Amino acid sequence: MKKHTATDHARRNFLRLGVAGAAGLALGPLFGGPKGSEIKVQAAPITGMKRLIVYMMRGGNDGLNTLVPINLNSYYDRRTGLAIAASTALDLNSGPAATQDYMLHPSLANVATAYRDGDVAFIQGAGYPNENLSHFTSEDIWGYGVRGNFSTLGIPISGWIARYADLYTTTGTGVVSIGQGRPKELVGANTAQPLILQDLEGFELNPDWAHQNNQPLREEIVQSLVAGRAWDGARADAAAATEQGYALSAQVQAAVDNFTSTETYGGGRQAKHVKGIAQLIQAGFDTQIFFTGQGGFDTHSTQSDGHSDLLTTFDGGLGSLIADLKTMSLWDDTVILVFSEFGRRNYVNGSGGTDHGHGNTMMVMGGGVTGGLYGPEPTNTDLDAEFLDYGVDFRTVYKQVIQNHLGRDPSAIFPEMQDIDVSPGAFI
Amino acid sequence: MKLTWMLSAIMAATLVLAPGCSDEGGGGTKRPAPPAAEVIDTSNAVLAQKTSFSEDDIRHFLNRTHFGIRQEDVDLIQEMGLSAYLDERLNFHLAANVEYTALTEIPDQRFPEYDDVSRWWLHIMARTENPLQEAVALFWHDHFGVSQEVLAAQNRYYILNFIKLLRAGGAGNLRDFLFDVSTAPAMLEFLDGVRSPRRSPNENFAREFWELYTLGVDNGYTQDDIVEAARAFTGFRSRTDVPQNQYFIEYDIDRHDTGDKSFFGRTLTGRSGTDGVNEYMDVIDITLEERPAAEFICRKIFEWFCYVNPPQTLVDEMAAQLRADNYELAPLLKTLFMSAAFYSDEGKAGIVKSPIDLVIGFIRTTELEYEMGTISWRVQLAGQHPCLPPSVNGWPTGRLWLSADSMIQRANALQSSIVYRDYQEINGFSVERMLPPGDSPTALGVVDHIATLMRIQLTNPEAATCAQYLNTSRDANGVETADPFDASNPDHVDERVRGLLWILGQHPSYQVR
Repeated sequence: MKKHTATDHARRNFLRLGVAGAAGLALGPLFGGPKGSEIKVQAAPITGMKRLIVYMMRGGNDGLNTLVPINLNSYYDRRTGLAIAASTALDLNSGPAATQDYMLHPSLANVATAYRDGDVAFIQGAGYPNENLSHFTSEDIWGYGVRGNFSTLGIPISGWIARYADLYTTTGTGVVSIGQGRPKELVGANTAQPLILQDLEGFELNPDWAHQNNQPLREEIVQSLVAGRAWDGARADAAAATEQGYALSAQVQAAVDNFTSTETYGGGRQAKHVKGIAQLIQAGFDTQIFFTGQGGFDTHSTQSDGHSDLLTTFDGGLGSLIADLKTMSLWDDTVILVFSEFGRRNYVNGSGGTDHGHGNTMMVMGGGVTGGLYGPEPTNTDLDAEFLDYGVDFRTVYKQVIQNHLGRDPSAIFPEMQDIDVSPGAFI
Repeated sequence: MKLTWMLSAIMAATLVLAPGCSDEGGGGTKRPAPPAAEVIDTSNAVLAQKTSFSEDDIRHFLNRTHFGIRQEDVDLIQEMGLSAYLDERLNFHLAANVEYTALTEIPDQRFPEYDDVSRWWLHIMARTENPLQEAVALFWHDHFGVSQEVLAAQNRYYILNFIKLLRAGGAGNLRDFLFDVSTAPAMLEFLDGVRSPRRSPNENFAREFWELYTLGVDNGYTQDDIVEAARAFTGFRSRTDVPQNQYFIEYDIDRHDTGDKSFFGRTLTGRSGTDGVNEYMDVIDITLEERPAAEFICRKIFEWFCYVNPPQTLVDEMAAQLRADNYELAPLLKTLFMSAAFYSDEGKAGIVKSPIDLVIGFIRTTELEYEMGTISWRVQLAGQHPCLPPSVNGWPTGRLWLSADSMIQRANALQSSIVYRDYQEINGFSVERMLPPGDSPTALGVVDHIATLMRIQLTNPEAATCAQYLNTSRDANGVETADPFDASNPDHVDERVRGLLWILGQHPSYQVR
């Protein structure tokens, strides 16, 4: 209760300052971007803009137990005790993209519904050349979107979303990450400054709890000091960032406080991250790409229960997000892209789990997606091998989403593409 | 008294500093103008040594290299002289007592928990008598961006040993240091040295050794050179000590490629047996002899401690000294910290503080320490978790430290300093040390004293605003009344001085060192 009192005070005083002209709600680019591109966060979702939500399943999701190849004997032969029986899996045999060959993990009810609605593309065999089995290295490759060396490309180390932000966003909220530490996807932006939050609630000034009466006064003074003179050099950057931090945190807290939804998002920390996306969208943020995700998919042992729980968490949040996007009439303008740094081995190991693999299944969802199956479909022969090799370069998927959905030229974002383009075909 | 007049006064005042006038070092108008800078010809010998140092110079030196300023350090340097002080403090082999007390952060050194080593190092930074050692080690931690992310419970002790190595060797001999770092278990694990047998040498370390650690991107090496060096680096492998449930790394003479290697126009004569490991030193020596490695490393050191984009002549001068000193780093650092360049206007212009610079500096200056696990969490939220640099190239520095989120997290990291009153009382830390000496200081006197310690130059209106804050109380309804600051009133000190520290901790000048 005390916390909210302090927040309310801070917000009221912030607005007072805004009237006085020391700091406004207008949010331009942090460091010397183009003028005149400042936007105001409005109290309703921005219509007519495209959004991309990228969701990472961290640790290596088991793609074969996600999109289950129910007609392949080798799948059942090699995964005794772990394979998903057709009797428990979820049907995909209706709707515009109906298939008799695959069913979904029983925890993925909302994904199944969206598939039957024709809104989900599964892209099998997604990966990159010369697969690496290290989480660390593979996360780098996916996050940077570069398989080789930056030195060869002649550009500084940076994530693909950071490069997108440099090219195509003009405000401090153009790309936003929630709850993922400092993901490789967003590091190394040159001119843009992605908003990287651990959770929305934490993006708020903590007061001195023992003396809360004076907290609003202190916050006012900080803002007045920052705005009160012309800074130069590094101090100017610091002043701009502080000013933007105070303004944006107030806006984010308002988005949290004012959010209305009947959805539960499944509860828990993970749900808050996904819900945070809906909260920012509903509050009128101009964000083009959101990044979030979920950890724990490194299921080396006793996978069955653990993997079910992970997918239940994922599916619960996703179902609520889809419902809220539909309520806001934004489902047709949104793409949700789900990936993992690699898949898992074709066979169950000695501990009832699976070890690191190569190619994997990506999911692309949205009202504008042409649902169905893309990429190479595994055969019994493929499953008799150790790994499912990659057959689609994941960057062609990102590239297609950027080109066809966000309407931006992706060539500069994936400078390596010319040599290694292996595309799944058009899904959007 | 309402706040409104103060805000308008500040907004009316736009201070533009005259060129050449430092934006640092004073605390208000009462402070006399700093003495004129010594006249030194900086046109050629920019590393020319200064022979006398003003108090402002000493504060600049401490702020840049010591995680903030403590008055007793200012006094000590004035007493000893900077030269003698540096001779003493650049010897990193004198283990301080804090080395042992900090080990309380690591209950089991064989199996450190995920955040133990970070807490241990932050503990040392916060309490050490020689913060210069930690500041130099933090530079190397950024330079050799090894992360514990690749380690598990069975080998997380590698990162403890790695940080110890960075702390011990940071001002030693560069040649030895490169060898020790290259063959450290954490590095061998991080850049695949343990996954590099002679039949399939892994190029990862060889590439980064030149690209990031000694030469710079595409600066005088080819892919063929990398293949050859990778062969020289073969031999290590990871083993498991089953009874101990620990991993360890050994040099396996059968995994080493004993053939000759050829790069940079030189032939490295292959070594066999346990002597094979000395090919690491051979590659280091050939690199130092044939390529501008000294220049690359000197430039990085200069840019970390002084300013970015120095003239090449200055870098060349540093490199020449490093070579002449047989790659001893301590004399180089001493030269840098006594150079005209370090105390020039450009040298004093300001480098963005990292979250650790900011938080540890604040704690050291104010003594408002808090629990190490919370500090580790706070600096992580602000973007810098010790032992976990985000890439092999270390942290994105400079203005990339600054973002909307990181500024809120910085403010919250400082707020933890303000609210951990019980911890501070138990550990004997008092905010009263921030009050100026003498009885009954005025509010403006307190502001002036604190700003000087924090090395923030306030304009007159800013100082007036801060003094007004000390002289104001505010009730639960937001009504402000004049209530003159009384330093003998513990409630005033506890509430208002702490509050002032939080305010000034967010001042733009406090975000730079």
